[in-house]
Amino acid sequence: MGWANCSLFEMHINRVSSVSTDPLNFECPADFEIEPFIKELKKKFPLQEESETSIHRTYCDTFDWRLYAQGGTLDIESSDSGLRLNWRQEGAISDTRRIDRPPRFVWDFSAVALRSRLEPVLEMRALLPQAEIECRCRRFKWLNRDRKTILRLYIERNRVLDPDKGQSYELNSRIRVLPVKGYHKPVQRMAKALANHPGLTPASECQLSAALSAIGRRPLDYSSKLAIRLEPQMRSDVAGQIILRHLLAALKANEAGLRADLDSEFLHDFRVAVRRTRSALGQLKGIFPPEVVDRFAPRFAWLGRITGPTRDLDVYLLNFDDYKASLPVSIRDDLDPLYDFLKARQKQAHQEMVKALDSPDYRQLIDEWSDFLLAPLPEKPSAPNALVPIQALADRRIWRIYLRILKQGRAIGAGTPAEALHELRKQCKKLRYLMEFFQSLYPKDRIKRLIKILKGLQDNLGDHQDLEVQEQTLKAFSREMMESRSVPSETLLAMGLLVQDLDRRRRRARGEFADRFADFASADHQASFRALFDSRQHREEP
Amino acid sequence: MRILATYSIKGGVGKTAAAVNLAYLAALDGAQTLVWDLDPQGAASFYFRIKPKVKGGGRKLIHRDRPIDDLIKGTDYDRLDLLPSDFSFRHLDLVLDQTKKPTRQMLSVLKPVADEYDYLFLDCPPNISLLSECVIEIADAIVSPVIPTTLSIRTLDQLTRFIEKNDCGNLEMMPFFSMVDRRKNLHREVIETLPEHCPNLLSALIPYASDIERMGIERAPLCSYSGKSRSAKAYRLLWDEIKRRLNDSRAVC
Ligand SMILES: Nc1ncnc2c1ncn2[C@@H]1O[C@H](COP(=O)(O)OP(=O)(O)OP(=O)(O)O)[C@@H](O)[C@H]1O
Ligand SMILES: [Mg+2]
Repeated sequence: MGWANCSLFEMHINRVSSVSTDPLNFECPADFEIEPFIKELKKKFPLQEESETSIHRTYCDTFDWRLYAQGGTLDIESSDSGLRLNWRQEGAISDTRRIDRPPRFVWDFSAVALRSRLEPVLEMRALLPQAEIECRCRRFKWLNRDRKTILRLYIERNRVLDPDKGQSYELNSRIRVLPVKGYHKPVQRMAKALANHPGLTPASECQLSAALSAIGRRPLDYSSKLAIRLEPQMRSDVAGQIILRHLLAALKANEAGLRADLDSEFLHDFRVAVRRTRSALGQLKGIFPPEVVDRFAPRFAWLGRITGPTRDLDVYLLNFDDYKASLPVSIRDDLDPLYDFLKARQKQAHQEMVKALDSPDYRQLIDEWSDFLLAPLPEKPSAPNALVPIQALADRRIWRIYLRILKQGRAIGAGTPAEALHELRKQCKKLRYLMEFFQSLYPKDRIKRLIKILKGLQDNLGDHQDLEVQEQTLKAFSREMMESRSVPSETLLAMGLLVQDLDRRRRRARGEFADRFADFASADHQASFRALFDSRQHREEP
Repeated sequence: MRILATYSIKGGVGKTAAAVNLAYLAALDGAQTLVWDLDPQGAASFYFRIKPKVKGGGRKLIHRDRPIDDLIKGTDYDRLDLLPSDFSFRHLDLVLDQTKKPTRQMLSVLKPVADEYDYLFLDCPPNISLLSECVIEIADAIVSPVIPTTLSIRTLDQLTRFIEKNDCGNLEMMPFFSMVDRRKNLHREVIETLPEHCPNLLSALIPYASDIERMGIERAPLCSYSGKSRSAKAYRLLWDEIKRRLNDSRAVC
């Protein structure tokens, strides 16, 4: 993803360094005696105890851990004094503020600075609770001679909630030192005293990992990227099972989120898993008996069909802001009824989709499919390619599709009908999936580079087709809206302009195809593909 | 960062009381807030129980020999920080005068923390000086307490003319009645007549009240120890009105 390089850390290092209130944290051993400890501490420091509070702390992240992957965590604390949102970077608080209600999407953030920081990271993904901690907090303040607070000390008892099991687990108590800006000496003295106290160990500010491990989870336990490890000499049917099991896991992982429509990406990832599964079944012909492919392929096609309409509408909704922005300012708001229309449609499509997923067809498919993927493979399989080493099969498949793409692409001229580009797009997708399935069989940076080259072409083909589909669908929508007389004519007018704009962009994408393809098929790039995948070439050691 | 200066040519009219309480309310609302105690007498610092001491004094601060962020102190309240006063601030005029462009210099002193704070309150000493000219130029709003007496109104006129003369762009003038004693005929009369002549006068007014005076004993913002009192409510109304004004003026420019 593009934003991976632009480190959030850099973006607001300014703030982190200037807020010198990085708390210092210590973990107490399980058998720690709090009362004697406090007594002793009070002898050394002029501490005054304030009232005890309880805080419910919820660590939030997207389903695919976008914040954590960037070295950030977001937690929302709920206590007597309301809701507070803490954004921590590399363990230290870099933004903390009161909020009225927890944000679900990045557009719910009212603080502009934080919103623009998180926008490119979160995009359209919802923030979901990843870990919940119940905290009882004893608070102490260190007063100087003017009775001014110059340091705060919290002793926290924490319980992690496991919402799945309805249970909670005690974590070790923690001691947190919260410096007051501009008062350094007390911090040093307190930190030293705590560090020297027997039993106390320095702990990270962030409790997320500790909390997750208490409920048997870990951060980054879902990613939409495939990370499949294969060995070159593996039997192809074994490798095939591994790949398909990964895809089934992705499919299952997204099911609950897409049913609840938490955000659009659960369905997206689900559909990608379905498409990849279909592609794998088609491409890996000959490693499983043909009955298997016949038994499952049509059912995964069905799964693709029943999830299609909702995804299409999701895409229009995600694009809506861009649609508006493409119109002249004066008529942008005229488009709003389209949003309501899309939203209503999406809701309906989603309901129908869920109904289909509730059917026995779906449950049976998943059960049978997972039985098949977990069943031991026969020692002497009947399928012709089952025993071929996966490396050889991967080379062969990738190379064949690559040649097909070159051929189909070269046949496309300025006047070639759109169908040819759509067909080419399909082949590119197949190639992309194969390259991703088999990534681990090739040197990492070389395969990554070739995927990137392929992606350049895919983006162009994707734009071209998506714009065409959007254009046609919007036309169909406006006809419907006109017939039902449900929207003002201004809206139809605005939609007309929108269709024009989409058409202009589609033609531009079509115009760019020749260059993009020429780049993809350049002698240089061809040589790279050949070197990596053409098995007649002698491959250097990966 | 929006800069609000509590300023008046007259002394003892409630500038510091306003700065301390408004800043407290801003922070309570969730805004990162900084108070800069520009008055060498250090009344604002006193209210926050912070020593009126700046390492290196006003000169090092203005010349940026010491980063402003190292001099800021956290108050006892969330999100509310203070840049304390220092006795050397009585020579701030001189120090500023020695720089080429005093206003720019002030801004560059503040720049390192400009992203960090949503509001900066400048608690100014009375009188017209080079410092007050700078303050007027960098501020988004002048929050000016006016005791409802004839004399105070004359000084308000003076200030208004002074600001007009300096041509301060989008500066919002926000006078408000301070230390209002309804039992006094003169106060009532002035309050009834002044708004006609002074359209930008805020409608919220701060009463003369002993609990506000008590701030000197409590050494804390009134709103922190007596949040539900009539006076605290008056400051709340004042702050809400100022926020509204600030938002409106932002919409215009
Ligand atoms: N509304 C009020 N009612 C009663 N007393 C007040 C009120 N406002 C301020 N005071 C008291 O009046 C005195 C002067 O107030 P304050 O310090 O806020 O004014 P100032 O304009 O900042 O003064 P200076 O010009 O000296 O900086 C203080 O003792 C303060 O406690
Ligand atoms: Mg004062």
